Amino acid sequence: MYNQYRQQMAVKIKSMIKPEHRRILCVGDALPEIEASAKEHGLEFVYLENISPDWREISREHPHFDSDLPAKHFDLLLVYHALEQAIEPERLMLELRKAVQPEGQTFITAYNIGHISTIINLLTEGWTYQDDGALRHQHVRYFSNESLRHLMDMVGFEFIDEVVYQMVQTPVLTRQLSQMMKNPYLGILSFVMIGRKINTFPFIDFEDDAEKEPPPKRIPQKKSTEAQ
Amino acid sequence: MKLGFLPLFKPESFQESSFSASGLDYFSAHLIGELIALIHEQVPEVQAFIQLSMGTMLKRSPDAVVIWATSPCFGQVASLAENLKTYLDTPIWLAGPHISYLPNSLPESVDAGIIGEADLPLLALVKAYLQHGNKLGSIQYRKIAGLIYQSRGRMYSGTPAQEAPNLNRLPIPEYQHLQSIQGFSAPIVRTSRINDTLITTLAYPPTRKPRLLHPEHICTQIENIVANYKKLLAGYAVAPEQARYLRPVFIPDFQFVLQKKRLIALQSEILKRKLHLECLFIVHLPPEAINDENLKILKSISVSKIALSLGPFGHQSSLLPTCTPDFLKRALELCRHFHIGVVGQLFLNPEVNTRPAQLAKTYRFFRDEIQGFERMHVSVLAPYPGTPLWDHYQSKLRLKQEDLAHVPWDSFDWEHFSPSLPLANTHLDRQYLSEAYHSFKKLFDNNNSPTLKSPINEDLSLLTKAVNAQQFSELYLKKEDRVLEVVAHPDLMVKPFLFQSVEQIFVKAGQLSGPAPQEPIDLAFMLGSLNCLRDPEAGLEQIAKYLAPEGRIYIIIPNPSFLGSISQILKWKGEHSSPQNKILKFITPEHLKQMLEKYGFTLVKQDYTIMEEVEAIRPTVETLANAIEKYGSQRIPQDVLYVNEIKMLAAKRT
Repeated sequence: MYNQYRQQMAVKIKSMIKPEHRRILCVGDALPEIEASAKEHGLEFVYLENISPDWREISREHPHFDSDLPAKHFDLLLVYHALEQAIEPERLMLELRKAVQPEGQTFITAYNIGHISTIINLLTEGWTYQDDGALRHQHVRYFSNESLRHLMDMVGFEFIDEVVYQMVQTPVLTRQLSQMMKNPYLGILSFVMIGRKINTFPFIDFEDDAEKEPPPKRIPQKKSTEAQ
Repeated sequence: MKLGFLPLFKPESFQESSFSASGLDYFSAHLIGELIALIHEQVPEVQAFIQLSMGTMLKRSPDAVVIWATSPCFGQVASLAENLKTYLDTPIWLAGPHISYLPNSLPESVDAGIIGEADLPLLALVKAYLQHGNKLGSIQYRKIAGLIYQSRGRMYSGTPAQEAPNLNRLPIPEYQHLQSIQGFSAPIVRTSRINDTLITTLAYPPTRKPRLLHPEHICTQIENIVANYKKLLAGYAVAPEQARYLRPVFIPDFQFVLQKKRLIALQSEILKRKLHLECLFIVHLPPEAINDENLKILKSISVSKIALSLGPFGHQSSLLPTCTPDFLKRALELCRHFHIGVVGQLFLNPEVNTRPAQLAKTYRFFRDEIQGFERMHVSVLAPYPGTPLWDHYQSKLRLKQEDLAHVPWDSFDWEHFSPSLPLANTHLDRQYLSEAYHSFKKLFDNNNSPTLKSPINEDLSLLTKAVNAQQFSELYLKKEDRVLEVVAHPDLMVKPFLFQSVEQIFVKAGQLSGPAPQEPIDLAFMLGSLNCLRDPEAGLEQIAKYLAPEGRIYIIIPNPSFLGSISQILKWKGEHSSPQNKILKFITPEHLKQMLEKYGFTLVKQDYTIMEEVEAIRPTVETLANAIEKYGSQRIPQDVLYVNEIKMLAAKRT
């Protein structure tokens, strides 16, 4: 089931890449077809795993990648099932953001924790990890449509559109639960969120980041009261 | 004589029948409490009262009206005075900090304005009225120190204001007057008269020299508040040990803590009068005063919350305390250690040269540390008279004294960024400030809970933890046992509640962090921390190595099938990713048992915590389970859905 999903998703993402995406940074699971195709067309394609496999551990304790990425360089940031593996997805995205051109785009692909198959798993077996899907063994973060949008908002990517991968299991139950819980995403296996880098506060890039802090406050010297 | 006080509040503070005043409004109202007490004591024949609207004021037919205006609502003064004059042929006097900073801008319908502290000039005005009645005019005003007044279209100032000769002998404020203000919450106690902070500058009329109140006088004020509370709550059945949780007192000025000797004297007086058993304190502090020694003293007198007023890092405004990110981070950790909640107000632009980089640095700090605050508010400082922005604003827009009456002060709103706000900052434009304001607001709103953490709940939770730890200790620990605690979140620590010596290892970024114990451990605690590891198996294996032969491990894991978390997913809330030390791996009880077995443990005991109010949600659970069983052909083990936590005690096999 997931093999088919991976194949179809790669085709889908490939179809979304536009001619202006000349420099692509990919983080997360490998997308060999897209990498091969990009290189064939003379595009720059950097797979972060190859140069900085520590990306999953970006956190308060480990704030930067081991290898430096060029700043404001890439036109497209492909985040392919990476957020689910990251200790602090928000911090990872903020680091990746630095390498993206102003107005550059991102396609964030993540599994939907609220897919009906996961819900059934939670209700019947607890939280049993699997080889792929939202409950994949190496996953440590779990996303819904709302939390992905919230994440984009917090890391300075404006939400433009979303592409969903639908996989309906137990359709009658899905329909019933969707109505009961007012949840339209029970049949959605994963999302591709399309975002654009924005340059508003607090994500604005400070060209003058080295700008000196104002000098420390001087305590006025007490004037001598003695007559001169 | 009937003397009516009309405190002005921002119009938006009144929404239909409710009233939600800003901090300044409360400060301003409390100051009137002091003035009324003074008048009642010094001139008993005067009946002084507060009315919050013109309509109710007219019904009381006062002989004179005092309009009390802070800067944010000064724009209402002119029209209000004009309307009052239309219906009441009585003197209208204006007081408050704004008029004190603008001694030449008296609105037309106002007869006299009080400059600086109002106690003595107001007393003199009242006495003059008693003597001259409606004939009171410029001849009498001229003789009262601290007044400005109008005569034949010109403005005159009286002699300079005098200061109250002995501050400690001024009467105690009458807090029952303030109970007419709906939403009236923590009464305010001032321990000094100093305009040394932004809050005191905007809320209190300026004073010429700093003056401190005596600890005995301050404690008498607090006793007075407690007596008022008792009267107010007399009709309600409240257990005596819980009563203090209903009696908060707010101390706004920094002078409460800044002098160590005085703080100790205050502590001693509060303890002597047992006031710490009668009420809770909320204290406004400069970050520099947050240290181990001060917090110990504050905790001993029932300080439950600390309020901070902050500006962007690196600012040099004299009216807001300065601090560095590192210092503030340490201060928050210290407050957490003492179980004192932190609330605060951030002013984005306390000076004209606030720079974008300062705001960005401040934002980054709050993004990382926001969980240390129970509640934060963000404000854009308007160039009110008395603020550091005022002079620059005046020179940039070249306002003349006569223009001041026409400045739309009510369009300045320091609590909400308004696009029409005139700005005079040299490095921030309107768009940038707006983006910054909304970003901070979003960050704070995401963290702020609708209500502050209740001190009674916090204390009960601490007590429960202490009792549980004590029981656990009696059951499973000997005095000489070596104990190890694996901590994922400070709120879950057991160390403070145990008598045994406890070593700690922390979970950071999904890994165990900290030095390994030097000697074998008799009991290891993992209260929720196993789930915060990227690889729980490896973590458990590591901890097992630290244990002595027959050493034990006590583990609590959240139930992965708990309905609370599943319902969040069903409502497509999912989970947000930002909080530190979030659960990374859910573990089923079966998986935990397998892991324990694998690393040489024998299960000694297993227990559960069941969620409260199971019956309330049982119908929903049954509907859900029935739907899944009917349409999904899956059987749902319902009982497990109500289990909150799973607890296991296991012993290492020799």
